[in-house]
Amino acid sequence: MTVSVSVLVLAALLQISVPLQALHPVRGVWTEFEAARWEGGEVVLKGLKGKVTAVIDGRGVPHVFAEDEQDAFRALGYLHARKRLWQMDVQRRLASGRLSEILGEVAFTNDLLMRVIGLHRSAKGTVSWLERNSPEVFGLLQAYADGVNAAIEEMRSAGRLPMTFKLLNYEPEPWRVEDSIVWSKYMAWTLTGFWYPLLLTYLAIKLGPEDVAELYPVRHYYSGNATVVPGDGSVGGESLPVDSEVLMGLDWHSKWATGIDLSDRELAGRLAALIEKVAELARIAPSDLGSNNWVVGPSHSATGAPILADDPHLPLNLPSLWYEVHLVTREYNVRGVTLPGVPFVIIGFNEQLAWGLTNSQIGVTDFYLETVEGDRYLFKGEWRQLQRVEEVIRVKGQGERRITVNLTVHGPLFSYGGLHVALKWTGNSGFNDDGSGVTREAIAAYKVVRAKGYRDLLEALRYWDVPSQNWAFVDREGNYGIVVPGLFPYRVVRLPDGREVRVIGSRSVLDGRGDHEWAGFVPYELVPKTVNPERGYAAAPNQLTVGPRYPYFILAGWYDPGARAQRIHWLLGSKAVHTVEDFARYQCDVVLWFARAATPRLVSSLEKFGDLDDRERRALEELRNWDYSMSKDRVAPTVFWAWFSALYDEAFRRPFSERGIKWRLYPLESTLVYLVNERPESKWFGGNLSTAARRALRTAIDKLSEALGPDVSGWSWGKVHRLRIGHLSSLDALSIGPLPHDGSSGTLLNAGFPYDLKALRSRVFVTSGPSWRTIVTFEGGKVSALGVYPGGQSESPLSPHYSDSFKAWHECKLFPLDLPSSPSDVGSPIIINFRGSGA
Amino acid sequence: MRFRDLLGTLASILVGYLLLFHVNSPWQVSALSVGVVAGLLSTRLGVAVFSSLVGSIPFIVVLAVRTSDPAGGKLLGLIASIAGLPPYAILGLLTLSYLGISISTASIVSTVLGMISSRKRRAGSW
Repeated sequence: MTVSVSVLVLAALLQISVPLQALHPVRGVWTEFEAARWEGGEVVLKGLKGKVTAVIDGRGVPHVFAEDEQDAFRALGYLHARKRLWQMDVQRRLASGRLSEILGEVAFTNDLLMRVIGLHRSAKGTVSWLERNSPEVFGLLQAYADGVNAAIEEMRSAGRLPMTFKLLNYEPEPWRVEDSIVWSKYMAWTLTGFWYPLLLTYLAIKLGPEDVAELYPVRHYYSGNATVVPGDGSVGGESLPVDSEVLMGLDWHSKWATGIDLSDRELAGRLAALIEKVAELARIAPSDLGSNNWVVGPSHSATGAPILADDPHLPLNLPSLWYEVHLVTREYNVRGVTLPGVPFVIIGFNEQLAWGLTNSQIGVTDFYLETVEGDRYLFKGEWRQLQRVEEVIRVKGQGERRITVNLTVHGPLFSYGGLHVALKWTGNSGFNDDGSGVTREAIAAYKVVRAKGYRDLLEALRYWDVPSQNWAFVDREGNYGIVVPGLFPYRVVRLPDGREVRVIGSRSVLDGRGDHEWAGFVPYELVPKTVNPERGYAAAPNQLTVGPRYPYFILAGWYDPGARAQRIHWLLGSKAVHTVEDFARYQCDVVLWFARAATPRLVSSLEKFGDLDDRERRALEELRNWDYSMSKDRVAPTVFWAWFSALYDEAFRRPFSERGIKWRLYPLESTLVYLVNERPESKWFGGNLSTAARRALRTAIDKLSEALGPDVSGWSWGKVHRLRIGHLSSLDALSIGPLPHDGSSGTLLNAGFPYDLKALRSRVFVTSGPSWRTIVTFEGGKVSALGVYPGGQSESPLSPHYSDSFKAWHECKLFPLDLPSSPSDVGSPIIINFRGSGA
Repeated sequence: MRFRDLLGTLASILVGYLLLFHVNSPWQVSALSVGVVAGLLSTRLGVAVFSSLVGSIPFIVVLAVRTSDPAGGKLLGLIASIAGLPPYAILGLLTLSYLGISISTASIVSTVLGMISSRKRRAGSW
């Protein structure tokens, strides 16, 4: 009896205690505070060639001094791993489709998608190419990996792996060069892997090409006057042979443009069903990601020195996306931000040059409808064998699942209902367009940090393949500008009138049988760029890149709707000269250009209505007295947002639903502003803006009253618009917020938030924004820089550097970023001395 | 207390300590081992239970040290909020689990040994 009771008790306790395994008092999560406290001392690193010293400053930023560059990278790998190992591991798993191994079924869909896209295959191709063709860059990547592995081994053997490994009950595998490349590929994919050709095909099927042309125009409304590159776009003596207005007016969904007849309802229906499946798998949602950068030249700078500002808008997480670092070698003294897992300074400065990136948004993804029979597909008149790749996805607690990925000459296939669409993306096709996935950003990054001025930068960026970016720069000589490097694939398209045009990207799925192929990439000499422009400044907050005569017609430019571009151009043009303090203010500017453009018309459209109730009159009064600032303590932004959201529903909900559009694919704000101002009689408003606006206001006020109470004065924007910076694990206890937050999707202080009234009654937060803010100038020929990101250097929640920079970021403050040239200049007592194993 | 009982108590505490600090295994293995040693080396059930309690001291002491540190307390708070339980409940669950595993193991071993030896005695008297 005693034995059987005891056995039962024991079995129950063993069962119950499994989740408590991570609480081992010696080797469990408790070691986290020892790991969090670790900052300095002696570290043995195998393979070091010389002396390496890292001084850790008050914000946890390492200043690494090494004679040999490989040594510096080895130390950086060690430091990244000591402070961000779990993040690095999760990121490589996310990118290569291996999250299910640690998270189980919940991550399977992501893994399935990533295995189909195949970034891991492209990363493998890139690493093998680098090893053969760029041994110096490969050597640095390998040294970095060795440094990471030294830290892993040290932490593992001491039982001090980060607590998240212990909570999830697994240990990291060794780091490989491929892991660094696959994460950079993933970043590239998130910045350029646009699904829009699929979505526009879907919309063209459901709405018809005329409506798509009006609601989703080739060039956004109000975008033409604020391009990244000033001027008409002609370059190197070349210009577009056809009037771009004519090109924009064409139906790019027609058979002449795509080879596919969407008027075949049976085919169109099946294609729409396939697109719905892909959208479900890829969880396609409208993106609020973007970025700001701008530069002014000496003539527009109060000090006579050029100034650069950059703030990339990306998902905000803890641990932070970025890790700050300062590296000093014999060849350079560079400071900036790195991606944990990737050893290069992505945004930064050295003693001669500063650079900052935003996404160019030029479409480099095409989709091809393949003709498949059995295991063959038709290409250029011949039947070719599908390439089949077996992928094994291990799902925690559920064993292995095997999938077969089919590839054509274009790329991996998505199949459904007997149709097969291939994804062709520059990151997978590679710089030789041979499907190898070989891209050379690592070479570019290697060269950028040692650039002595903008000419070196331009030479380095020749190798920047993907993601295409707007690289803003200033240098010590007073040069400033923006260059847009990248692989821009073009097709030669024969227009209905017989003329031929070189076209970048597509707005529709293309026939894959060989008549709509990429003809090449835009030669580097012709990529968009502006150096020392006459107007004295340049800005690239993700807007239209070039003027109408650029020799390649950019058909697929998934640009930002342009409110930030309009605002920064206005700010930069509003003063004769600017200061660093001005730049810091502009980065946190919350004036919404769309609100300025639409509110007066919306308010005046209600003048004839005498039935407004007290709340509505009060709300309109707020709007009349508004300066269009999306400030968290103001009421007017809430009213504008709710009214605009309701107007979206008023205009599009019913027609979109009637036509079977399964998810919220409303047009961009610029379209709605255009319709309000230029097409008040539009069918989308039922022929009368006033009536639609009246109904929308009533809905908005009712919803706001429901959510926030009847007192209009209590409807401050910060109650609706709240920031949450979530931990990568989604655990609330490790996250920041929700907190009232300034801005909106369209303000320079970017704070992605949907125009959707559902946000009032669900957990919808701002989760993206400026992931790093920096300002750099060369006053008196000496570099001076500021920067901040919303988090901290350590992933350990117990570290003082877990989120210590968040408050400054939230309050729009910046930290000085010095460039000391010796360890003693850093002025910190926390020193790590790295030594080789034989020393 | 007989010498064997004293040995059992000392061995239990030693095993508890060694398996926690010097062997890379789950803490449940430490608790089980404490119970097995206490059960094997004790002459009576009561002593086995006592020895397993004593053998649990290293676990309880090191856990107390961990959580009394401000950073450890913060970590406990974090774990508790992740689990959706108050911190003392996490600590209580952990301590009771360790004690429960070691005591029930000691009970099982001691009782089974007792049964075997009484059978042997009965067999000898037959």
